[in-house]
Amino acid sequence: MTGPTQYFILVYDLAMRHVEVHEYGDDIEQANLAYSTLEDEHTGGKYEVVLVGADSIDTIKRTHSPYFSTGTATEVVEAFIASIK
Amino acid sequence: MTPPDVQLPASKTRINKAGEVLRRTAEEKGPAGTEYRDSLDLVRAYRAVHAYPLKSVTMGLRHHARKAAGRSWLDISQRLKQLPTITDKLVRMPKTNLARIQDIGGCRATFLDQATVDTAISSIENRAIRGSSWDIVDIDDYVNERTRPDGYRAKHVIVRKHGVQIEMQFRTSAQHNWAELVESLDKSLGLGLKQGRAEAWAVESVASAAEDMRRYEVGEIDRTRLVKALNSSLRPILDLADGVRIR
Repeated sequence: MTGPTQYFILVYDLAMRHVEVHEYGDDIEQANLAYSTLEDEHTGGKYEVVLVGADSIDTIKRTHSPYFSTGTATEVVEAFIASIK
Repeated sequence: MTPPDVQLPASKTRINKAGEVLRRTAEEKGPAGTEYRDSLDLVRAYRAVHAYPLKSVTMGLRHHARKAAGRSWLDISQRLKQLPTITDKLVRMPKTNLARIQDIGGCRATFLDQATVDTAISSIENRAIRGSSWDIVDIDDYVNERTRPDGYRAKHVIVRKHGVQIEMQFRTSAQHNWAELVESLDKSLGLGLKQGRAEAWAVESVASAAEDMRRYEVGEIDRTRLVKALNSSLRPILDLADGVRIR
């Protein structure tokens, strides 16, 4: 949890419930440029495009889990309950 | 030595005017002409200058998290606000101009419990009093003071760094897990919770689940009672969702 910040852009297809992960390493300038391009390519309220950063994609999967969650709503709730320690 | 402020892409007046154009276009659902394109570019450039201050604040947050929690702090991440949520906020809060939005750049830390969250925030406050490279602008306590109707619980600390505002969010593990669950359900079922336009029954359902998590977190109920309570609190949403596949 102490490595340099890695930047990712998550492009989430709301209808398909599918996330596309774009990686930029620690290059925030590149990530910022891509943020605008990807936003322009995914308009019309069908997608969510967000630029995030953390030490790894595994952390992002925990901190931004809704983009990665699978199953029915019931299964999501069940998994949530099962994860409570 | 005080670090230099970032160079804004335009005057605050022009930045706010660009925000106005985005707000107006969203409200009127008008066509996206040249003025809109230019404003969009400026808003994006304004958002981009938050990247470096956000990185610095996130590093500071990591330092204070480690100091407060040793090895027991969990995750830290950061994000630059999505364009549609910037526009939503401008539409939802007509008196707020773009330069006053405090969470264009935001980072978040999760901890095991509330006591550790509070220790980390105290550490940040003490450091600010003794002089640090950021100023605290605001502390919003959504745990004890400003509880939200939907049950959202967290503490937010807004600081000014390199001339712009950055928001730090502090959550316990239980608060974070609840927020992530609610966002998942909101995204998949279109409940409208994030935009503040959900129906009362949905708000009550997630608020009740938040209260279940709070009671479990402070030891008022054990895991068995929590599971029973959550199943009951979330029942209206699950009934609606029956058969709806998330992804």
